[in-house]
Amino acid sequence: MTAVGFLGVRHVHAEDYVRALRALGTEPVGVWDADPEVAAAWAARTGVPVVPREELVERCDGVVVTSTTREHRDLVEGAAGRVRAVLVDKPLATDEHDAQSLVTACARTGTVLQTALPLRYQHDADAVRRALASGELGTVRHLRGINQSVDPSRHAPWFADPHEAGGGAVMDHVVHLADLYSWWLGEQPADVAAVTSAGLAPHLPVDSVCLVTLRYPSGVVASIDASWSRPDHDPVFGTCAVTITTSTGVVDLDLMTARVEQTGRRAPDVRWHLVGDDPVVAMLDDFLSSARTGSTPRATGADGLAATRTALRARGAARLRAGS
Amino acid sequence: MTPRPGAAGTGGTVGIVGTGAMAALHVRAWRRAGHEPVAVAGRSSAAVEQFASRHGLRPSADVVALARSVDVVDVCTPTDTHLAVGAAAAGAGAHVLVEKPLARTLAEADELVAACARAGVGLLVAHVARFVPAYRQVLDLVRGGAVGPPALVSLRRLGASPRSAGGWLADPARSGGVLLDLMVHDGDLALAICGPALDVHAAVAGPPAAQHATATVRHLGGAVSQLEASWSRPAGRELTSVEVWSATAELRHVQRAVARGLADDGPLVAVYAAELGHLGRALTGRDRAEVGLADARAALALGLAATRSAASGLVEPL
Repeated sequence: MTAVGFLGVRHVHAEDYVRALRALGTEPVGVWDADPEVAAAWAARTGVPVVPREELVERCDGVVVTSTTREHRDLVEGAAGRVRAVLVDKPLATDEHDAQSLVTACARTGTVLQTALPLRYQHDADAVRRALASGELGTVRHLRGINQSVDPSRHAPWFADPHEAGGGAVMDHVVHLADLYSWWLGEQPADVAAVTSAGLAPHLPVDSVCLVTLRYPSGVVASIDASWSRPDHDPVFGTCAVTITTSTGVVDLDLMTARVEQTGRRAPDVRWHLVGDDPVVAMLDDFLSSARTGSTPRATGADGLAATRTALRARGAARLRAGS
Repeated sequence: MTPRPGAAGTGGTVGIVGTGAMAALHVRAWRRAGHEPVAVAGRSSAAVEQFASRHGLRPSADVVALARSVDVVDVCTPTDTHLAVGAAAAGAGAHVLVEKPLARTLAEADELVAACARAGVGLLVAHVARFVPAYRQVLDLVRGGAVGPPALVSLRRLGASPRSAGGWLADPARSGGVLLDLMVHDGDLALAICGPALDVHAAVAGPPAAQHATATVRHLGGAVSQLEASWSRPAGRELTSVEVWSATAELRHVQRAVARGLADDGPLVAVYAAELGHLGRALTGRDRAEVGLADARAALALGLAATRSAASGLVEPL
């Protein structure tokens, strides 16, 4: 069995990845976190044992880095050259220097770096990519994407800590659609503009409103609403949908569409049971393959770096505007 | 001026300038609102004759002759003619109503405002979206404090290509393109919901007759809004939406086109009737204008700044 360990588990996705690994028949060999209490609590919840950091890296073919964003660089670079593959959550880092550094460290030591961008494994998103590439959908004019979230700091407070996360909504979800757009279009944005504000969660020290406008060299215009605008009682973490306007028509892509909805008749209890192929399972399957054979994953460290740069450019553009 | 026999007599007589689709819709809506459109003028005498006979109106030789025979002149002509037509009507003593946007440029807008002030006649702009029940409801809820101060507003207006409308809409020099002609509705709504704008960023894609544009606006009070307007939607798949988020609640209204061929323009005529009835009363001093001249000028200024931003790629201050 492929040996996989978790380095840093303060990201809310870590437990999803354990479930995905188990669905694939892989039992994680251990967990380490900079905060022993976080590691112990997570180990108690998941049943994955706590293992000292150096020992864990020694024993693993691949490690999953689901720490705070600031911690990514240290954890990835500490594993580079010692494991075959690293899966790091998004965004790569809180600044350009750290993001570039951890990608370079893996490239230099021959460790495969994968970025956790599950939309690339969503069946309809992949079908759209193929249809766009074949010309079947005409020429893209405009992409309108919403990837709104609940306030994630209600589940993991560091998401609203500027030091650990690098920002709020702009650092949280922009990367997902920025990566999807680039994957579809085969290009990176020429211009990135953004507006952010704290208006949806004024008690937090980070942005909770985030609108990004992208212009690509081909002339395509795209928008991303990554605001933390979903209600606390949202049945899942948020929405993810893209409306694609092309020279020949419109495609409405709801990336959360494969679901059975359950609603309580007496209490406001709404649950979404996502069905069909789980993109997170496919993403972890790709990772296991890299950890076993060194194969190149669908979303590489370089892809993650490009998407992180777009988020950082959005953050920078929003800052400039805030001072204007 | 005496209302013509048979008129409902509640708002005086109305003369229409223009013979296009908007002019025809306004004639029906004025009648529904109890006003009497009596005459029409336009650029082509053949078109004026035909329009007059189809709608039961009297053809006028020109705007001045029309304005001398009615209380209100309703300007349904291309945006870049609003100043010339409106100033001529004002000079002949009629109140002036122009379709949105107020004018093609701020200089033209200010000149038209000054001409009407000099002539001592009223001037108002037809911003029909303010009379759509869903937007009225949203504005009432926001103004009533039901949802708290808006932090984020999203407005979409996605329509089909206007290439059938005689060509001027697809000529940005005349209409201002989708960022001015269409997005001005949602610019006005965003200003009404969120207050005055600080700056705007916009980008536009697609050929002139099928433009698709996105803009983001920062408002002085701290809210931000995202506006999207399109002439690139397949016919039958038109869509408008408004969403408002505050720290404590959200409002959402989405209007999709019904299946192609099933559309009934009754509700649309009713909305225009509500709009024109109100404007007729406001122009004759019997109602306070829902969309004042300052509002119409602010919506124009926002649309023009968005147009500059789409050309420069820069954030444009207001």
